[in-house]
Amino acid sequence: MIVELRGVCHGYRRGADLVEVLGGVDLCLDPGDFVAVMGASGTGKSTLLHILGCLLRPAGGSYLLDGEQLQGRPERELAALRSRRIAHVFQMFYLLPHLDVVQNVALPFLYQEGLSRSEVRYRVDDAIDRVGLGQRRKHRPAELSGGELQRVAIARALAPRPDLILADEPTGNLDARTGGDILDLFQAMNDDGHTIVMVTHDRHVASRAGRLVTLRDGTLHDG
Amino acid sequence: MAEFFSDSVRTAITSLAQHKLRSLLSIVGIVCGVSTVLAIFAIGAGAEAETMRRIGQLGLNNIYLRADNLTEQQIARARRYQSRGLQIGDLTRLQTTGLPIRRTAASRDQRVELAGLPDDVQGRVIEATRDYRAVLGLTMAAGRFLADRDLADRNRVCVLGWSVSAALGADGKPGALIRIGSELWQVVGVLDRRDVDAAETGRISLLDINTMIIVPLGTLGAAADGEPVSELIVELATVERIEAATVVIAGTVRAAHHGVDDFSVIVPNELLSQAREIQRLFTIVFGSIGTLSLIIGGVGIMNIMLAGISERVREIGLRRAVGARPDHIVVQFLSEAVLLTTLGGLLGLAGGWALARGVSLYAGWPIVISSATIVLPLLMALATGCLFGIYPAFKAARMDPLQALGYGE
Repeated sequence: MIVELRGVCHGYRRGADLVEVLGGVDLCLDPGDFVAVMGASGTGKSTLLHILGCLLRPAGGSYLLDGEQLQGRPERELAALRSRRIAHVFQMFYLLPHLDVVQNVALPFLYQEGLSRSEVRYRVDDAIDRVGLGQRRKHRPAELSGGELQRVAIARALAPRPDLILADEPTGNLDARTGGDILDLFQAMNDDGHTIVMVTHDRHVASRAGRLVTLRDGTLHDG
Repeated sequence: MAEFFSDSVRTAITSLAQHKLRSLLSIVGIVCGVSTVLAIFAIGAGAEAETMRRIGQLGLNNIYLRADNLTEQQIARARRYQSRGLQIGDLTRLQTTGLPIRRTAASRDQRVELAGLPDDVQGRVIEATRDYRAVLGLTMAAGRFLADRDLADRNRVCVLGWSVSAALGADGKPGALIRIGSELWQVVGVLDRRDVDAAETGRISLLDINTMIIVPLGTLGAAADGEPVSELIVELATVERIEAATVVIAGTVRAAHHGVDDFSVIVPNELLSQAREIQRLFTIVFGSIGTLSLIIGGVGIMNIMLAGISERVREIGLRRAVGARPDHIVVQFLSEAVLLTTLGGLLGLAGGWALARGVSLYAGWPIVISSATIVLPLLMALATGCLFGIYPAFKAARMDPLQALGYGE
């Protein structure tokens, strides 16, 4: 089991009130799982994704990644996990405009130690080839289409060969055809053995995942 | 790690290049600060070297007693108290004080002409004792200096300054005879050339050794112990407690003159201290202006960095999301501050050099630009950049990555 969430809860302070968003979420993921998380707006889909991505510490419960308890780990260890083992794909792509495709994809490696320059170069080139942008290596984000931008973001997630890829509405900013291509890419990544959790509010998109879970009233439900 | 640093520098350059005018404006303060500090250091070091050179030539262990031009009142008082002015005998009295006196010398200005000198060389004849050379640290280019026998026998011999010897040509070499007043004198030695201008240093007008014609005391006019001398010089064995020795020397001579103040006491060492004090004040005043400019420059740097951070919030969030630790963000933004201040520092060095050269040309002050005058202002600029860059850098590093990415807005 690669991910094991037990009784994870979290809330936000809104004025004087504490609004509970997650009220005891349990989730287990095996290597190679492709899970879509659905739910109405404000049900905590992104919050769940951020907890899985170590960008947010849950208020309660436990999170085991590959059997290791992450609760209470110092920030530097969580940062190391984010650069090596967990990758994010955002709806807004978040590419750095002054860097070209290669430099954007290589970004996580800036914060990793122990890999040789040639190994980094190989992984970056491999990831760019896998998302079909081999001809666009030296292009800057301003010279790319929306679909290409998301492919660069996916290559950036793929390059460090993470255990877990987390995608937050990855097709939300794309037209239907381009979105379909991106979903094909996720499908191919999953076929290669990557574990993927994708948040979406689109049932058609969710149908591409192998497993569907829905957040309702702060807890996860299958289907 | 190397990739991280090169990325930090590249990002910093890109970020600064995107806002060229803003970046340039933000470093104006640093440029002014570094320019001022460098110019101050260069001018200060030049003045220090010049003061040391001028005062050092007088001998830092020396105490000068110089005959004053007396007012009529003082002349009347001197007559009444039977003071005969500065006498070589005063030196003999000083030997009984127990002070650590190494050497003494006396000299007497003589208003006689040296024949055969071109118009542009002003020869100045003085009578002096044997140790005059050693006390002033003069060295010989040829021949010898005055000897005891020259004084005892009142030999008509002379030692020439470098320019006088050069002006006389073959007649200015040891062995030659020259006419001083109405008599012929034999040249026995020529002094080494000494770089000095006759400019004022404190209260002392430096003697231009190069134009001197030195003859034994008592050969031109009255006997050595007859007429008053112009100057007595006492060289102490040590520079320590020179103030106390000065008091004793002045007191002893004044007592011998029956309380008549017909001489001045000049201590080059004190002049040096005074000159240094003036320079210290100069450095403090202008150094403060430079430091103030650097502080203003630092605020400029902080300002542009805070503006840059608020424009690059998403980038900070993304970098944190792909594994950057807070210290990575600190280093990234500090690199920017360091790059800005380095740029400002280099421009400031060029400006400071130009400023120092300009002041030197305009005011005729000497300047000294050493590695310290370059490195120190640059280090001050870098320190300012780091100091004022730390707050924005930590502000960026403390950002919550999710808020930076726009979640929860």
